[in-house]
Amino acid sequence: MKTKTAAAKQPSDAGRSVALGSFFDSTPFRALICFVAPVTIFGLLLASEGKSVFETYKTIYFSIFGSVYGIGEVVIRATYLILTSIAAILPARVGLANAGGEGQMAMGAVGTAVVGSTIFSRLVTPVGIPMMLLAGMFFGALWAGIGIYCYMRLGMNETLTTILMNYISTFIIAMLLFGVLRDPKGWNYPQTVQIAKQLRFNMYFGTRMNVGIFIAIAMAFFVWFVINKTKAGFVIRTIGGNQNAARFAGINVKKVQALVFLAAGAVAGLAGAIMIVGVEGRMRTGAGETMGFMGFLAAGMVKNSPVLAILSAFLIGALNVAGNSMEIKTGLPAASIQILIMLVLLTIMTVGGKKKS
Amino acid sequence: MRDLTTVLACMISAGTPILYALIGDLIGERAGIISLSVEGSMLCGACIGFGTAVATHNMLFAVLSGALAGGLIGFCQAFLTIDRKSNMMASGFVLMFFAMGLTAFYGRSLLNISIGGANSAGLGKIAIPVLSKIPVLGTALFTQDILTYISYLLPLIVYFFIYKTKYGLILCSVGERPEVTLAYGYNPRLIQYGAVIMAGVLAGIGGVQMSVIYTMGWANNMVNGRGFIATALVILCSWKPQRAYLAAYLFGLAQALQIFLQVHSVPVSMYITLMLPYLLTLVALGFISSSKKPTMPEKLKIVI
Repeated sequence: MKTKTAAAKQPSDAGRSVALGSFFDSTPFRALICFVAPVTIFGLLLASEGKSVFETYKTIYFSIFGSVYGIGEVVIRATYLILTSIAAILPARVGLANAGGEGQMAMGAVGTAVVGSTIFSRLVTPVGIPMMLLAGMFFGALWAGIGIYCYMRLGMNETLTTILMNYISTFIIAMLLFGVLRDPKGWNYPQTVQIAKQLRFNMYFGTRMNVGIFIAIAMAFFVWFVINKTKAGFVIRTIGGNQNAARFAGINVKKVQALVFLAAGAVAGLAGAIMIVGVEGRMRTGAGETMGFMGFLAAGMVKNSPVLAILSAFLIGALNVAGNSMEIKTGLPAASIQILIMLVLLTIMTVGGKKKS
Repeated sequence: MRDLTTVLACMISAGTPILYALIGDLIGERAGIISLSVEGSMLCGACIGFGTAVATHNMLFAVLSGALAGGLIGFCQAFLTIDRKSNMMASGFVLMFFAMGLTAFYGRSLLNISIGGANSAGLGKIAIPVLSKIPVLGTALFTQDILTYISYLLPLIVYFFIYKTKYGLILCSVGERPEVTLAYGYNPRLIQYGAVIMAGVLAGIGGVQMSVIYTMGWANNMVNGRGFIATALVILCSWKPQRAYLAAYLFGLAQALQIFLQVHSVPVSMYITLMLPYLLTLVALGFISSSKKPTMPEKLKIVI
């Protein structure tokens, strides 16, 4: 009986549900949900703690768009995030997961800070700055190299290995900054000696903005170009598509994977180098914290597209900046903004299209 | 001799939260889902459990609330990975940061509160009559809190569940061949949900143990990667619950050593000792991965 009525109802119902379904499935509607749902839920959380929802969102808005300085801060965060997201995207394209952008960036930064105040300190700007960036890439790749060695030779899971290496890098850097690398004239702060003046980027518009962002964006387009338009990219895409097929086609899968992973580490290290050459001028504890992790998530948000990662990096960067001013203005811990960022990601994961496996 | 007792006691206390998360994640991985979100579950459990303990002074409520909080994070992980087919690692990461934000947000008022001297509420250490009189081992192993005693039994219980009961076999079949589970008349999706939520619940309890009993306080991001370590240690155990003791207490020993070296002011950088647990986990992972191929659940081979 039941099935009969259902069958009888079907023609008229089906038409409506298809129309509704296509509306609910449409990209604009999903995008709307990805905005409305997190903002609403975060608003409810704020209200539950007796904070003014409107005031908090106003703070968030004005900290991002309210001043040139705010925009500059967003741009700086986006610079790191674009590069660390590429560090996650590249390995993902050959079937690996690099969750170690955090450590690779930090190692790149500390390495750059050391060479910038020692062996490179006499170099003139046009030679010195490229050398500094290359140094950062070298140290980032070195740290990634340990991870990929563990994966290739010891068969360790690369995600867990790189995650654990993030924590290890934090402690190594803390040890160095509290120990041998501590600036003797730095009032006992855990920071390195300042790098030479001529090795710094200029800052513009009274903000801390520098050319780093152009390097990052150029890198994103370069990676897109390499993956989609070159012979090497074809190899990468083949491995990403089907490793066995790639193997049968005579591609040395492991070698390509290792090289791509090293390149990813180099890109994360570049983020660290830009941080030192640009904003910081020296390495200190906590500099660039969570940027590597967030970059990993920015990559996941856009399904590993290097060009779209620019957008997700700006979004996450902006919210990160908002978190800091939220702490100052409303007394909420800066980490609270992570709730909003993660709600956005969770909503995208929930309403986004199912991933092909 | 006193040193040995102290180190052993520290080893047990530091290893217990890991043991909970490890066993939880092991159950989840047996069903074919890696819960990197146990990190988030532990954080939520630690925060909510501590908050409840402060408010009610009741261990049972603290454990239940911590388990619930951890379970909710586990539910999110289950939903995202099973129904939405998200990347297990990515969703675990997102949930960890989500938990980090939530606990920083709601845990503000819990900072700088200590919960010492609340022995009457079942929070304190209980000496087991005869066993605690054993020299060295007695004080270390059998003068512990109730959650630690439960954790002694946990791997055994899970061992019997997995190897000796029908339901354990069904659980493992989901991780090996879900078609078989389905043919056998059980819903693999439901079982995966159960297993991943269980992972969250146990990790949440581990978090409660950590904040309420081990550190007796709440600090932002106090779990600091222990959930990830637990996930790595599951591989070290080769998915066998009976090996969880070894893996968890190996981590505990690394932590205990850190305190031991500090107390005796051994001239080793504090940061090396802090790094030790992570490094040890990494090295152990290297050994197990490079030796014979472990008995990995079929479904995980795609991920790992």
